[in-house]
Amino acid sequence: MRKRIVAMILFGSIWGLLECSLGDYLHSRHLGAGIVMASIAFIFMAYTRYLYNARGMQAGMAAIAAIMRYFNPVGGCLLCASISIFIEGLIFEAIWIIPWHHERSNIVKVGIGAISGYMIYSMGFIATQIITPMIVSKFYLHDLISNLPIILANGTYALLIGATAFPLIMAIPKETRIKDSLYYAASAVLVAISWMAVIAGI
Amino acid sequence: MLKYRNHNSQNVNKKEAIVSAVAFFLLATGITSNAYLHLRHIEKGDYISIGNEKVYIDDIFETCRIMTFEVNEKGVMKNYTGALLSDIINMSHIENPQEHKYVIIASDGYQKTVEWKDMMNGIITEEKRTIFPNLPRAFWIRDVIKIEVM
Repeated sequence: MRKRIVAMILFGSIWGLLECSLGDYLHSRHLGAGIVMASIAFIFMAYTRYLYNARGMQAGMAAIAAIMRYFNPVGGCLLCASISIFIEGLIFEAIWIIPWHHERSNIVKVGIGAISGYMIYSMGFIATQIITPMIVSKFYLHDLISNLPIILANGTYALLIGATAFPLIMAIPKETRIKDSLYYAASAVLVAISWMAVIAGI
Repeated sequence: MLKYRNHNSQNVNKKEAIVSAVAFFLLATGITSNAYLHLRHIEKGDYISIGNEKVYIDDIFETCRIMTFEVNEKGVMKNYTGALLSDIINMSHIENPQEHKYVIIASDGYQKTVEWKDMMNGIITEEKRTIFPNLPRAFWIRDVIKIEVM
């Protein structure tokens, strides 16, 4: 249990750091930040579910990453990104109520990777389109309807990445030979580095 | 034993069929949306359509007030200069502009609706990008081609 909580904080912090650094970099250069970051989010969540087999852990990771993104002192649209990250975690938990990481069929692995990738990206994006305007001004349904084809179209790339990534994640050996003391120490250092980097505005 | 195996194999086949069907449905949705966006793509010009009028960028920058907003980006203050959006609306002879809402539309179809108070605090740059310092970046629309008046 303790190991899982530490892992949740560790992976959530690294995910948050990537959102604040790589996400901002891709966004500023118009390099499909949403698609890349949603795919990375899926890979993190699927890998940790496969490794630790704990429901709710990924929503916790998403909450940590969302908090880091929101309190990151620099970067654009903190609110949209934070909402999107947290919703991604919830969507993952909803799809993975069924323990897909126990599946042996390659067809199921590819299929569930595709579904997860597409749903995590598109539902995260749709959520920001609804919640952000509700918070800052007013939500207009016609804006969402008009933006829907863009969201659904871009989701195709997340679908393809998810379909490729999930069978590869499942091929990673589970056994690790790290001593507990080293595991906790390394985790603490990595978490501290991630948070300091975010607070420093990297 | 053989009966159990057959039952298990049937379950796997059923699961494969359901997951594949959902994945193909989402793939088809994505491909269809891409095709729709491709067909919907609107030709860009050196103007912005406001209501039924075409307002040329050169005219905008000659006629409207030019404002500069300082925005914090990655810890660096960045200046954005552009024509005040409320002046552009006034230029296109919209009656009682404060009573309307404005749908800002990009060339890829992305759109956001803003109110008059936002138009009074927003600019459009020469690259046709809207900047609203008081609104999240989701409202900063690139490649604006049209402003619809509601």
